[in-house]
Amino acid sequence: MDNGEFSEARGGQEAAEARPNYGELFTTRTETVLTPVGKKWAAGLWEKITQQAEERAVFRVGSGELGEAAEGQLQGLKDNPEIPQQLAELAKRSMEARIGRVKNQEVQESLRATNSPWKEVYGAAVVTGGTEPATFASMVIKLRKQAEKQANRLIRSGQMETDEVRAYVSRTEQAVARGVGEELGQRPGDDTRSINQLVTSEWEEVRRLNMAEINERIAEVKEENLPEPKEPTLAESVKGYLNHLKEVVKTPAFQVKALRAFAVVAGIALGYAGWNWGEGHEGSGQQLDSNDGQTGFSPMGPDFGDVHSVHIEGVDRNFGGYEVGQLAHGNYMGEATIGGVPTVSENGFAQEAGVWFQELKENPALGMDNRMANQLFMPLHGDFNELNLSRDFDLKDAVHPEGQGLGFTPQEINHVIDLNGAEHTAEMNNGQAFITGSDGLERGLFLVNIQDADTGVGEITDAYLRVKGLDPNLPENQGIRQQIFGNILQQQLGLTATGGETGHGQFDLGTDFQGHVTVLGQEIGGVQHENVAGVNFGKDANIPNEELETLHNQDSDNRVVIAVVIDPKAAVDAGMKVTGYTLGNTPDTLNPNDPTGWGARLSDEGKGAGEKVAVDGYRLIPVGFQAQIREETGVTIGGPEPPIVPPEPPIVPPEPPGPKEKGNRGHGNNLDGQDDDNPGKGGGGPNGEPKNPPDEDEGENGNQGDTTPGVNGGGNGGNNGGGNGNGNGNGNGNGG
Amino acid sequence: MISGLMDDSFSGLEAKIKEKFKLFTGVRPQEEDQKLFDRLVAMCFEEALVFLAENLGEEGMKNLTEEVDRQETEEEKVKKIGEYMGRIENGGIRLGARLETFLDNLLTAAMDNTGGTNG
Repeated sequence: MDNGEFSEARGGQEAAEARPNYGELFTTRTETVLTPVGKKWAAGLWEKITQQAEERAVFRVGSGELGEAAEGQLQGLKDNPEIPQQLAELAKRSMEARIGRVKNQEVQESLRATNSPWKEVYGAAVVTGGTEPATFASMVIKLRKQAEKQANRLIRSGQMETDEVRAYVSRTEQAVARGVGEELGQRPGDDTRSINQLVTSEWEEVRRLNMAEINERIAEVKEENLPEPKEPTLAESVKGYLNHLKEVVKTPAFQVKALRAFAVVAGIALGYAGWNWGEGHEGSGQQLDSNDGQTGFSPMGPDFGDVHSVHIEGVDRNFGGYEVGQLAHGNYMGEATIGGVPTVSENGFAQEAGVWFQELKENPALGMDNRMANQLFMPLHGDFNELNLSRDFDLKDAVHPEGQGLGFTPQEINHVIDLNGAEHTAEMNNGQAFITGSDGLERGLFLVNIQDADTGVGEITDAYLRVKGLDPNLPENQGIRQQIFGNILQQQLGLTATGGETGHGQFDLGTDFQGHVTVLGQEIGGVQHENVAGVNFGKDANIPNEELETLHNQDSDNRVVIAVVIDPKAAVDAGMKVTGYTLGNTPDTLNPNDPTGWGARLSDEGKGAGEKVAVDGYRLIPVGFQAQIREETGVTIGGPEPPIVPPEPPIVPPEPPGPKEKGNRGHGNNLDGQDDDNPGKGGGGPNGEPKNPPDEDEGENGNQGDTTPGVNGGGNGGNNGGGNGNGNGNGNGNGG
Repeated sequence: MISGLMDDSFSGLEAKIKEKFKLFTGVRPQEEDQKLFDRLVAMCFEEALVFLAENLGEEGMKNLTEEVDRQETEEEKVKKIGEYMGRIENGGIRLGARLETFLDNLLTAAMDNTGGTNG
């Protein structure tokens, strides 16, 4: 038993424990509403304030220090019937801030508002020399301290044991609130005298309470006594989803698991996320006057500073803001901008990837958040037994939410990124774009212009064939490259040629394909950037068209990252045996109806009878099509200063090769390798005139002179060399 | 490592539930406490879903529901929900405060149900 001062016994815990118990003051199920009790409590608080001020005033008047004017001002405040309600509203706002419905800043603004009661209260305090009610919180604490005083008296007199005090204080506070409030609720704006009487009587009642009785009451709480939460006041449609989700996880064990999972991903740590209720109190969490609620404890990683969401309406909840935060926090990505839209450089990506890797090593739970990092670094599953990260770094597979990654190491990324640096295309053409890891798998990683995603895929295909010692331009290798490319384009980009065959590698990039490509059931036209944009953002994310145009500006350097792992051990002519893949960060967008959810499972189902392909067992996994969206304001992101890197120039196309060398890059054309009539890429899209004059090599590369930029269909000739005609993307338009 | 992290993170909430409702302190039979605990967890879980719904909005909830439905196992479904939870800005702090307050409300209301000492 400790008969000492209660407040001393509480020591550093004071701040956290000085918080009022809001249980009776607010309903917080779906809406923060100040309950009648809460309103009464606020009224009681106001009464306390005025009472103190009055006492001071009387004292000072008695001392001749306060004139009639001050006394009149005090009386005016006391007579203002709106002030308790204003206090109540402020309390409500504070509560909303606490549970995150509004930002602290908004509460601060409320305080600063011209009609804020606090200005008046503070004014009264100054005039009367009373206590300084600078913040709502400090008043709460003062009220609490009064209860503590009472408790201490009881302790000293032996009427109460120390360990009962805390609950006593809490009950006292509530009782005061209740008593005051009930009276006020019945007669709003009633005179303070009757309120005082009520307060007094409530205190007397509380004083009589035996803490053992309170404990007993708590002990009586049984399951049947638990109230059913009120129905949320959500929109009916949302309620429907909510009810559905409630049915999904019903068993207690999994509910616990779910809460644990939430704890991890959301960083819940009750007890850490404490609320600092005012000045002079040590708190470990947010402070009332913090900026915007972003300074709280977060075990999940760095503070993202000002980067919090994308500006594009409708996507921040889906993936945008979150992904952007993840991508941007290292400051390396998005360092260059094209037309105000940040993009990615090879070096930036490599650096960022290195940061991700370290973060994953230190806290694998981050893998739950950063999907790109997940897919890059987490071990491979399925047919690949060599899980290099598991082996080398003891990362647990379970961390990876989708169950599979590419098993890159940072070194491998650096290697391929370096190779893909300034001499990006040329290097790839030298067949150095892949690196063979210690696990025997071959990995490549490519950053390509989003408008040239299919060209990029074609380059990857070509690069890999070169790795394998095959010339992608030779007619005898066309079938192979088309198989590979066709799979990527169709399966992984989700493109389907209605006019051509949908089996892998067998679609025809002829007129039909260019004119009638469907994505997710919607006809969208050609195969170029507008398709990629549509696939990734335009359909499910509801990005307005104009924003899409910004993001996927016809000449922008917005990049997509495509990572590939190929298992060379898979035997040649064993058939197409793609074990699985994931689709980067937008799998649901790409394959919303796929029963496997994340990613999809390929098989050899699409392979024609008796067909053999030279490359099999490969596994192509685009890490993601990450538009580097950030706030238009271009705010500086917290963290280290990023290296100053000039905007990435558009990828320089290689010297136009001869007809053979250009080949079919970027297209899964006819299996016979004769791309005679195929114009290669789809209909161009918006032309990039200033930066990309029409190709000079019409005969070789095809795809020129589309006079209807952005429109597919017509002009599908050209492409004598069977090339995709897009070069590296800027010679848009179809050859005639 | 992961399991430890999860346990630690959740233990805060778990402890709050037990402390507020004086569970497993010998006051009631353990079986009864376990039932009570399970129900409280379920209510917290539901509250977390409400929080999710408030923040995701209709479109987000639609997407989530569809994705959850595509998951085969309960574990995968939970994981999927967790993914969406992780996308909410300041989700940890907000949900933590939300659940703590929610428990406060439950306790108070429960005490009222018992006839309480509210005088």
